[in-house]
This record gives sequence, structure tokens and C-alpha cells, in this order.
Amino acid sequence: MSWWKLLSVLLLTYVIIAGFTVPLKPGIALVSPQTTPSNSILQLSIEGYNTHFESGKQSLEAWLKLDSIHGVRANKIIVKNDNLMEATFAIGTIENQFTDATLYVNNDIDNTAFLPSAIRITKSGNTSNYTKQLIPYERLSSKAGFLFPYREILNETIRNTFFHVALWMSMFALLVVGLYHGCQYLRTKNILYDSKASSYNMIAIVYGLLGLATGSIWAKYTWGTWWTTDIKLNMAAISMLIYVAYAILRASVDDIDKRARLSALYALFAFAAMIPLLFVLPRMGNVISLHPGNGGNPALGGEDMDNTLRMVFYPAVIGLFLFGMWIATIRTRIETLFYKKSQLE
Amino acid sequence: MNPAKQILHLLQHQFKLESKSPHVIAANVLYVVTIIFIIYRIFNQISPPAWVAVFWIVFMFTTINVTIHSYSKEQGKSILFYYSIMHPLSLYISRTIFNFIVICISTLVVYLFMTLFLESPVSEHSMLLTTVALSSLAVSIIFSFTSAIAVHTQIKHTMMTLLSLPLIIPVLLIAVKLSLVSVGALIDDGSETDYNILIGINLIMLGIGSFLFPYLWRS
Repeated sequence: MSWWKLLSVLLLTYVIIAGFTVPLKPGIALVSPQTTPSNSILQLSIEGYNTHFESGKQSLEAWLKLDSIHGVRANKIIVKNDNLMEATFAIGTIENQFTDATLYVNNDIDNTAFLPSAIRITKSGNTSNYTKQLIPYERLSSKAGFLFPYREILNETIRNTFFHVALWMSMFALLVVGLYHGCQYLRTKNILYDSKASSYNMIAIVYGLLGLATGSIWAKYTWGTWWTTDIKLNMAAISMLIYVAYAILRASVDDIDKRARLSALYALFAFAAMIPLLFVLPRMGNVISLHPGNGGNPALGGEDMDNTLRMVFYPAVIGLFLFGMWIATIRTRIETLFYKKSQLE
Repeated sequence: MNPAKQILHLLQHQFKLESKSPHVIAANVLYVVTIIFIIYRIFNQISPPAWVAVFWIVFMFTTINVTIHSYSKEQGKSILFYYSIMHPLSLYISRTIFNFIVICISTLVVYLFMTLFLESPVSEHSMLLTTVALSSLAVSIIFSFTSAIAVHTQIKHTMMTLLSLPLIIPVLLIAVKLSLVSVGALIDDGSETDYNILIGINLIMLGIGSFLFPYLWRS
């Protein structure tokens, strides 16, 4: 048994166990109200997720960030239960027309949970002598340890990163390998390369369909629809149409050499035909993508991926790729046996 | 024979073959008329964006219908004959030119009948004409290649549709956008970029098609 087969199983086992069992960091799910005028007393009810407001009551503090260094501290906190509390802030004058304040909730058990743009403070005609203080950033730090980040809207579905995104990445890698073997077939006319090319493409199709399915379910729970006009979805759909056509093309040709030649050529031709899409789709008026990495959203390098996520995500990509390679080699062997059998007959 | 002569000769041969079977042409015209008549009965009155959508859908299926015959006539011994005397590239180019002419004529027929039944909302005819010409060329380049693949399969017609439609999506998207501008349903000042993209698609597909076609023809 090759080492990489064992590695793929180990990595995938790790990804499934870690991906589903590691808890999320404490976060803030909901606040109300969502807007408040300046120079007023604000009573904010805060709903936490995985938080310990009750058990960490002694050290509990809440901050609203007004500008880059200043904020107001809640002067009164009523804890209802571990995930529900009410904080009272005295908000003073703000400089701009409005400020989207970030909320920090800090205690010794959870460390800091925060919600960006939790509440909009609008300028009002009121006057008051409420002051702002320096935010003690040195005390505010998110909970250490092996925990996935809490993100608004995503919530627990952030675990799908390890499956949905990793499936697409390993699918792309497998397709490139398949294309390479297709070129090798055209160069050498060695039927082994055709078995390899088709096996890699087939497993890539399976990954692609799984990627579409996981993405669709994810979209339903975060964006509210099964399908959007997102640019990446269109690209994915078109490439799936092409590769399913490739599979059907292979099934409808009986002669082995002819099948190998036609399918390798179609894969190459289709690959070239997809290049213009990269220029065409942005001109269709749907440049804005809901996916990270588009329209100002941070991508893998940004804050969407933190180190804990990466520690599961990269093993997932490598594990899925190696697993796909394993399936492809098995399929190649089956194809080769069929080919030998057909030659004996 | 030099390549230009080969291409010319093949084109002559193709047109001669075509003129021998006028029923195929008649069948294709009737196909278009029937489809458009059904659309007319369904819609009665049609808005400009819907007109554009219908026009390109009819275009898509008509072109598939007229180009699928491309290689099927040359089954059997004549393939060997061509292979022995002609360069595969001349065959590909001549077939692309032939398909281009046929597609242009059939699109004209589609346009005429759509104007007859559904009144054309087109205000800028030159724009639509350029779009149709450029996209017909791209489509004929793509179809000449895919139909050469499809004729080797057991389900030629379906296979042709399956293989070609995903590949012409980029062309159709741009063509529909330009047509929407030409009927006044969309205001956009980037039409020149769209033309350039269409020309770019033509060049890319012609390049990769001419590069790969010799491999395809070697059987």
C-alpha cells in the first residue's frame, strides 16, 4: 500500500472529526435595537452564541467602539442567562453623520466576542456630557485554543469550507492532471494515458457535482436561495455541462482508439472555449459576487480564513486530492483490464 | 494543389452536393417557419427583449440543424479519399466557410420570418448585422469541430447538441447583449469591447481548432 493512500485516509478522517466536532468561538448573534441617536442612553439586548455571560458574570464588560481608539463602556449589565444579556451605554456626541459601532463583550471565560457594525449611531440634536474612553485593546482578545471563528450569517455552516471549497480546489487540480494525460495521449497514442485522463476527469466530475450540491445547500442557509446569478456559479455550471457531455461522448463511442482521441480532443477544445468566459461574464453586469474574494470581500488570505480554519482546510484539500487520485488509479486499472480483455477476444 | 485551391475545390464540391438534395434545404426552411409560427401563436405580441431571446434561441437550434449534416455525407470511402489527397486543415477551413455561409443564410431566413410574423423591433440594423456575422463565424468554427467529433458517435444529432451548446454560451451571451442594445432595450456604451471580445473568441477558437483538427482527422 502506497503511503499517500494511507495519508489521504488519515487526512480525511482528521478533517471529518475536527471539522464537525471543534466548537465555534463565542460570538454575538443578535443585538437590538439596531439604531440609536447620539447623546442618549442606549439599552442594548445582546444575544450570544457559545458564550458564558452567566458563569463569567464577575468579569463581564461590554464596549461600543466609536472611532479607531475610543469607545464607551457599558455602565450597567443585566445578565439573563449564558447567552442573553442587557447592557446600558451612555453614548455621547459623534463627529460624523452616523457611526456603525462595533460591539465587544469581554469576560474571563469567553475572552472577547465581537460583532462588527452591530449598531448604527446617528447624529441627533440632543446634548449631553457623556464622554468616551480609550478602549483597552490589550485586554480584548479572542478566545485562544483550537476553535473555529464565529461569523455572522455563516454561524455553524463555516464548517462547509472544508468540504465545499476543498472539493472545488481538488476538482480543479484533478482536471488539470486529466488534461495533462489527455495531451500525453495525443502525443504518444498510448492507451494507458487515455485511461488515466478519463479516470481523472470522471472523479473530477463527481467532485464537481458534490461541490455544486454542498454549495447549493450552503447558499440556501446563508444567502437564502439554492442558486444565485453569481459569476462563479455560472462558470461552475458551464464547466459541469461540458464535462458531463465529455462523459456521454465517451459512452457513445465503441472503438477504443477513436474514443480516446475524440474525448482528449474535446476536452482540450472545450478548455480553450472556456477561456473567453473569463472576459465575457464580467461584462454581463454580474461582476458582484457573493463569494469571498470578489466585490471587496476578503478571500482565503483575508480574515475569512483564520489559522484554525487553515489547519483543517489545507489537509482537506490535500486529502481530497489524494483520495481522488486513489480512485482514479483504481479506475485506470479497471480500464486497462477491460482493454486487455478486449484484445484477447 | 495549394491550400487555397484545395479549399475552393472542397467548397465547390460541398455546394454541388447540397444542390443535389434540395429537399434538405426545404426541410430546414420549413423547420424555421414552423418554429416561428408556433412562437407567433404563443406570444401574439412580443416585447423587444423577448424578441431578442426568441431570435437567438431559434438561431441556436437552426444552426445546429443545418450544420449537423456537415460531415455525415462524407461517411465511408470518401473520407479515405479526402484524407489521402487533402490537407486536414483545408478540410476544416472549407467546412467552416461553408457552415458560415449556410448559417448566415439561415439566420437571414429566421430574421425575415420573425419580421413577417412578429414585427422586428430592431432600430440599429448595422449593429445586429455585425453581431450576427461575428457570432455566426464563431459558431461555425466551433460547430465544424464538434460535428467532426459527433459524426463518429452513435447518437450524432444529440451528441452534436450536447457537445456544442456549452461551448457557444460565451458567444451567445455577448450576442444577446449586443442585440439588446440594437433593439434599444439596453443602453450600453461598451459595445466596442463586446465586438473585440467576439473577434477574440473567433481567433482563439480558429487557432485551437486548426491546431487540433489534424489530430481529429487522423483515423
